[in-house]
Amino acid sequence: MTKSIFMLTIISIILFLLLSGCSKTRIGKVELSDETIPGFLKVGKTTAQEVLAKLGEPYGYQELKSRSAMIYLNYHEDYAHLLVTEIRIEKAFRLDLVFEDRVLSKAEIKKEGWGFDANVDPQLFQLIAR
Amino acid sequence: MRYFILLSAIGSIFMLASCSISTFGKFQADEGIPSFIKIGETTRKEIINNLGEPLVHRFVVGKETLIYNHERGEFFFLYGTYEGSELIIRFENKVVSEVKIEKTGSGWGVFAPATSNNPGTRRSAR
Repeated sequence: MTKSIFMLTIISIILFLLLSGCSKTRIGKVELSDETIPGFLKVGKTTAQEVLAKLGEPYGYQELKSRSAMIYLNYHEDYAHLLVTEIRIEKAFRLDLVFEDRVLSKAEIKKEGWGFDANVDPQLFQLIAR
Repeated sequence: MRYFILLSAIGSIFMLASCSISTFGKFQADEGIPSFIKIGETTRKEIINNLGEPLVHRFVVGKETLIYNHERGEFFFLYGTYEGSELIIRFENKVVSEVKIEKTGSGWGVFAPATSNNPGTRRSAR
């Protein structure tokens, strides 16, 4: 009887472990989750070249005459499932940088979406970036 | 009885086990910058002939830029990882002036795959 209880406990623990899981994904070259603009970005001072050197290639880029814009995205997904329950938390942020004559004229962060147990639509992301 | 339990345990492990490796992209980030690319020597035509059509071809801050991406997802039984990278090549007068690899994302998962839903890999978006 004692042996059966012991086996049952072991099997229960193993099943509990096998039926749980978690994952974490981060996408983007700059961390924007604290919704603060990176400290080195100064309106009227920072150049587009400096931004490229420090943050890397932007996700979106547009240039029209003397005006240009860069878009950086940051996406967070945390997922966990335990037995029959699952939790998925998603957050998406976007950093918009506008340049006049290749000098920063505007910088802003927007929280583009969030999800709880539901997806932030990646196609919507694409439309936003365009 | 002991053999039955042992066989059941081994059988259960195989039933619960799985593995996969998926890659996407025209260069291999883990191999570094392709060796044929030489700053000041390699031309745009050679790059496109060797690597194929890029994900993105645009002018950034006055410089012609090609972007190739690479994504790799792995999942072995319990643990999975995801990593995204891109190869950025800039040109001056159609000759390579700068080349670098940048990481676009990463993830891990235990008993659950890390997502590879990276919007940066969609050509239409860029």
